[in-house]
Amino acid sequence: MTVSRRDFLKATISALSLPLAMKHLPESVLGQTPDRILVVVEMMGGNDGLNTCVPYTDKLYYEYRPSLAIPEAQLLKISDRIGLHPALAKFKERFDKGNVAILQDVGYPEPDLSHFRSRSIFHRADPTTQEYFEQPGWLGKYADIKLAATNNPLSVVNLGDGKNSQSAPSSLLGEKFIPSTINSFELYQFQTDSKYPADRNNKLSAFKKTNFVTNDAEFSFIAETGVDAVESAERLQAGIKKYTPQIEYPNDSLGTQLQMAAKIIAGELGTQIIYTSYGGFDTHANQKQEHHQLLESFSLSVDAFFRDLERLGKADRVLLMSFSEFGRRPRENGSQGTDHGTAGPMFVIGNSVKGGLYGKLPNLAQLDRVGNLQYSIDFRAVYATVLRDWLQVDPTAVLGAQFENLGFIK
Amino acid sequence: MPAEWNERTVAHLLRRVGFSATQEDIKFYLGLGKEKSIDYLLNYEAIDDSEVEKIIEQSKLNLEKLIGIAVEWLIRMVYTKRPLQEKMTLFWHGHFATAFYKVNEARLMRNQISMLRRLALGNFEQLLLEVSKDPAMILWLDNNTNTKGNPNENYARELLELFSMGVGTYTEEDVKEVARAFTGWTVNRRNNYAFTFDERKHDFGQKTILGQTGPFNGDDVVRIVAAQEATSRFIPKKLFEFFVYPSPKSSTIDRLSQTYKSSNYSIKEVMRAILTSEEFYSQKAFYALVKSPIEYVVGTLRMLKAKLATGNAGELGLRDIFTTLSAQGQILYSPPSVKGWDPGLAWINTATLLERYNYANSLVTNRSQRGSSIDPKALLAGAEVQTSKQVVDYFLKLLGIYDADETTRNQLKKYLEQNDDGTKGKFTLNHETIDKKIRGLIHLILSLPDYQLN
Repeated sequence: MTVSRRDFLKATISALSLPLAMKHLPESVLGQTPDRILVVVEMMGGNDGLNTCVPYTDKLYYEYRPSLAIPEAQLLKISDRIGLHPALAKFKERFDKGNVAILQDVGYPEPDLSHFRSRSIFHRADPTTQEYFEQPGWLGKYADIKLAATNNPLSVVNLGDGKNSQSAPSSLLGEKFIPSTINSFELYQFQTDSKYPADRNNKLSAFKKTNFVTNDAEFSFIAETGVDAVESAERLQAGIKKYTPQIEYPNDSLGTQLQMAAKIIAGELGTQIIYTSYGGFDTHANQKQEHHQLLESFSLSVDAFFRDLERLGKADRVLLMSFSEFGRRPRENGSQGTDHGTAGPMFVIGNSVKGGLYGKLPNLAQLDRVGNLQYSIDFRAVYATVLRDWLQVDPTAVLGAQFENLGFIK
Repeated sequence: MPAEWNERTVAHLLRRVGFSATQEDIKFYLGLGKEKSIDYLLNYEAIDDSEVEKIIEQSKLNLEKLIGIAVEWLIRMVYTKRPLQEKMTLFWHGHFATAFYKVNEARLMRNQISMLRRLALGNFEQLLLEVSKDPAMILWLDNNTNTKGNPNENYARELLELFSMGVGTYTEEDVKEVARAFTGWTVNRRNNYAFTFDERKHDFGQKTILGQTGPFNGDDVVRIVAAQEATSRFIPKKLFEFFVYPSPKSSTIDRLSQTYKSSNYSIKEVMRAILTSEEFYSQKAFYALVKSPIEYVVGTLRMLKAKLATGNAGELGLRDIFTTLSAQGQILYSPPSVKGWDPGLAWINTATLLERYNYANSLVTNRSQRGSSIDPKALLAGAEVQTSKQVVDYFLKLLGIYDADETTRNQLKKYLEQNDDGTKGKFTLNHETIDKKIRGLIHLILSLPDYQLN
């Protein structure tokens, strides 16, 4: 049975029944940035893992990909079996320093080849998800446990690049907690009639008093999000002034978002989870050039981000994790592209990471019925490791079951 | 108990089948009665809509550009006399979601939407067939590269998963076989990207699709898929959830599925069944949906009788609307993915709400001749209102809010009466308060949670 969000939130909101006015904690509590920050990068559309971390000693790789295989000589080798895509040069430098864990062949049982369902599975950490909107995501559950009590809407932030507005991903949906979505800092403030500035306070007061919590959950969700927006906007505007740009980021979607992330971290706004995403990985046709650009953006943006954090003295507090809803099919299709696949690599980056390659090499000789890879690491084990060793929460409380700790965090 | 035919019910109907009701609309449909109103809305071909074509022509839009075709469509939504036609077209755009950012040809995008508009209430099998042959769709889902021996599954998968049957109602084998059936369905770049069937690239072999075997072509797939039980439930359910409320009972979908089948897949008949259903007028349906950005913006412009910069300056004047829709999360011709836009509370987050409030503020406080603006004095003309309470009630109703809480009314009334220092003053309707407080009041109403609901 599916529950409507209305019924669902009704229960939780009335259980909380916090009048909005009571939500406000002293600024001193809100202003403390947690020790550890998690930044998620979602590669939307299904990243071609085999052309990201290439098993260059496997003949089948070259056989399956007559037009797309990357010649061994062009690869950035990181082991005697794996070479990185040539667009990942900066990323490789970090790997060589020991700050990058590459989790190979990550997936889940009975993979689904639909973008939307597979994405939903990753977001909810639930391969059996019924995908109703109300089902919380894994970070939403985490926020319910650890962050809801802070009452700081900026403790979980979903970023957009100012061009394509990203709605909050299911990962961040919780039962007690509403994340902030920020597409552009410039637009993130409540404007009132500039002709009558003295009337502004009256308006703000009326706005807050008409955006109240009732027993209608949808209404309450909107009201609460609205008040959060208006209040967090003022704090955000003050916070980001602490940042002066010095590092150059790529002028693209991910670069923009990671620089925003750096500003938020510099602003000490109490933010613990920052979610970024960028798309274009659904490379069914002519993927070579496009995939190159996407990986290059990842490599350069992540590098700029960490250099920025190092400059700001905050790098030790940040862990970055990337994922994509699936990899792509080992055999290329007839359009110099690849169709939907299954397992693929995930990356975890930061000074607290025990760098290296984890998990097995993709086995190209043993594909499933559709011709896709069989996974060797369950993505929930990656989440579990991050939850326990970075976010310091019992992973079972979030994931509902126990998963192996992969040991990639110091 | 179904609601009686009154202003509140008409406003509800028009919010759903169109982009909110003006006061004139309400009078018109109230006079027509329920049954005739529904007939009138459904049989829209009979309504003369030439006025809107004239406005578009005068606006001198560049229809080779995304901004041009988006503004054209916005003009249709604001000025059309056939609200259901535009609403259905928008529904199908979200359903067969194709985006400019990959197709990169405004003309093809516009042609696709014209096709959806033409077949908006037509036969679903025909619609699915024309969609399968639509050049923008072929480029969007890579069917131009789907060839014999080298199938590309992109279109096949989305056809089954999103366009007709729904996830979990077919197998991975079906996806592969459907892809084979659509091999050679491509576009001719040398002939303006027209649809063409390339025999040399088509796989004429036997295929087994959803239990049937034959040397199937795309036409056969569409025929087979339109007749599936799963389709007869998936499409009516999606329509019901778009027009009425989420998660209907399965008995409701049973009924609509029967209508779909007995009417030979007529979308119009399914819509008639929805608009005449008891569910549609039930208390549960009122304000049960969340306004999409387009419903928010277009509805606001209509109810406030906003002056839009059309004519020669059309494209320039409506640019602000295009920009705000983008920041609110809904760009015409650019759905975020082939799944379209997620409905309901997925529209709502701190960024999109701030953008709604800020757009409302810029619209109601624009006192220049550029862009879109409102005339608060004209909105009050003929209204017999004087006291702060009357003014609040009047504007709530004008903006479609019939169920506001007493707290809300009192707070808005208090705002009207407040002096700059926050103390209670006396409200009188005059030149200054109209410019200051009435504009402010409208901004506050457009920022109410009530107003975000549809």
